[in-house]
Amino acid sequence: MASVDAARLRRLQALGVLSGVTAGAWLGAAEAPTKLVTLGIPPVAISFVMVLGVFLARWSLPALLRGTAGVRADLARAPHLVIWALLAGGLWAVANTLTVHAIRDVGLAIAFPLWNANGLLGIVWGALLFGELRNAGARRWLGVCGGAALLFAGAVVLGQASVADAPPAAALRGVAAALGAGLLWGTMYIPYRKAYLTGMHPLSFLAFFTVGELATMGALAWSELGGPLGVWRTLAAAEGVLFWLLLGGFVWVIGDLFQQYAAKYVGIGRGIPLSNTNQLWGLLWGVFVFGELAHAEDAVMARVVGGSVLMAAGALAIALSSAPVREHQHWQAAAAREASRYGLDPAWVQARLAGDDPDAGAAHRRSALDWTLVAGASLVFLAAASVAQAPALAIRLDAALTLALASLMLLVWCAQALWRTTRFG
Amino acid sequence: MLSVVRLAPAEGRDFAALAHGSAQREPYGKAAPRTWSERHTWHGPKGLGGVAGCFGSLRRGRARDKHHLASALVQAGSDHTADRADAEHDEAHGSGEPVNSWRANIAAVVCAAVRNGSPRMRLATLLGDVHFWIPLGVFAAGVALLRWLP
Repeated sequence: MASVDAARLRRLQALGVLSGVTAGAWLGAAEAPTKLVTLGIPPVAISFVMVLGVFLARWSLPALLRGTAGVRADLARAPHLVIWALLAGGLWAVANTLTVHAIRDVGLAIAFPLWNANGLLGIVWGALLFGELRNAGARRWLGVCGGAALLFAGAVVLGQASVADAPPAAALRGVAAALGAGLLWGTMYIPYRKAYLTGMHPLSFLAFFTVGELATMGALAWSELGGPLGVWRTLAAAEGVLFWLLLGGFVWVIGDLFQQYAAKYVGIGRGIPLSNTNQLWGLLWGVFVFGELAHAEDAVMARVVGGSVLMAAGALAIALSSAPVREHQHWQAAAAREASRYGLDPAWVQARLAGDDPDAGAAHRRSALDWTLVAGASLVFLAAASVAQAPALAIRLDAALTLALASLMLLVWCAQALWRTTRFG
Repeated sequence: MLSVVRLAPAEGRDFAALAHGSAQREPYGKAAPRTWSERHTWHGPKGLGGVAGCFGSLRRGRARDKHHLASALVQAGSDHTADRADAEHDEAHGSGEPVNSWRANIAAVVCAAVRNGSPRMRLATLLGDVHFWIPLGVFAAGVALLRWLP
């Protein structure tokens, strides 16, 4: 395979870092709508409705960026990647359900940092399986591993500050669930990386990923809530808050989309820790919008500031350790191996790896099916909004607007950069 | 300006159209199927024999096409004309004219899907890929853990 020129590579790396940071902001913001739900809804039902929101959101506005024609083109090129995407969606759903158990048993303070260790696992898988950090030099190894360690330490400190008095109920079970969630999420990035080394478009991957998520989450909800009637009754009883949960899914899918671009352009070793800064954003929403920690002691506030600084320093260290050309050659070797294994056109894989879209003509056609899907998904959101109840929780609107504006600005900046450099490829 | 490519008489058919770019042609001068229905029309015998023949071709792979192409490749420089190659092909593998057999046409669609889908799915390759078993194993472990939790 011909190597990507150094200037193009630098642009793609910067794009990946920006995507990772944007992903962190939007994945953190996704927690905000779910905080508005204070009714006694089973956690599995909350997770199921959020995943439904994720699925519908994929087929709303993003369907206009890459519709069914583009997805079909990807499917024709590399149909085996569908299985990878479905598997990744299944991993996400099981991990998310495990976190519910972990929070219940050991509290958020212990559980969050444990499952956030998925960033460290991502570095291991990236280096072992996909040639990431190979020939990168000691400085970049130190930057990525040290940065991930700082992010982990920051997560521990922030977690302790967030829920300092949560009593561990069933420590062993809770720790096992949290570690399990971290293992599943860390391993979920193997399919991500696999897909992008084989030329799949992020939006095509996301389309099948959401199907895998919905199917697995549907099965879990089915078994826990007592079949389809049980699921229906639970959702009907909670119709007033369905919109907020769907909205959480909508915001989450935007974050995940940018996470896909981060995994594509900076790899999973760097992309995952960067998007794990979502904990920091979640805390910002909690503190400034929902008034959490309002009466906290100085020691707790010091932990919040210290943890935030650690996380920001970790993210900065990773952002400054972008892959040099000699490391990127190993990525290309991994891509060539995948192309050879699955009988794909190496030129097509190479073009996709460099952010070009050889199927751009076909991908940008909008069919009646696309418009129908967009209309259908939007109608579901509108229907849920029409019966939504105003949240009972007191929120600070000015802070909410400021954070929403900051997230939107990041989105516009990153989307603009993606469009200019890769046409969302 | 239209340019006409001069070709050996044995290859001669309407190559002016080919040079003009108005037709996509196979090496032996027959227009390649362009529409979906052209591609999925069975060119063999009618009726149930056609259905059997279609599935037989699936087992044999694209021997029919290979034979046809091979006929075209040996024709240059010999007295083998493209028309003669077509005639030989038809004798051995059925007429080149589409037949109106809905059963055979449906079978042709199924055969095409299997023929095109199976290698592309590369299921065997996927199952032989160790990278696939890592997330699958972790997924199974996660489900087991979930069932263990009360």
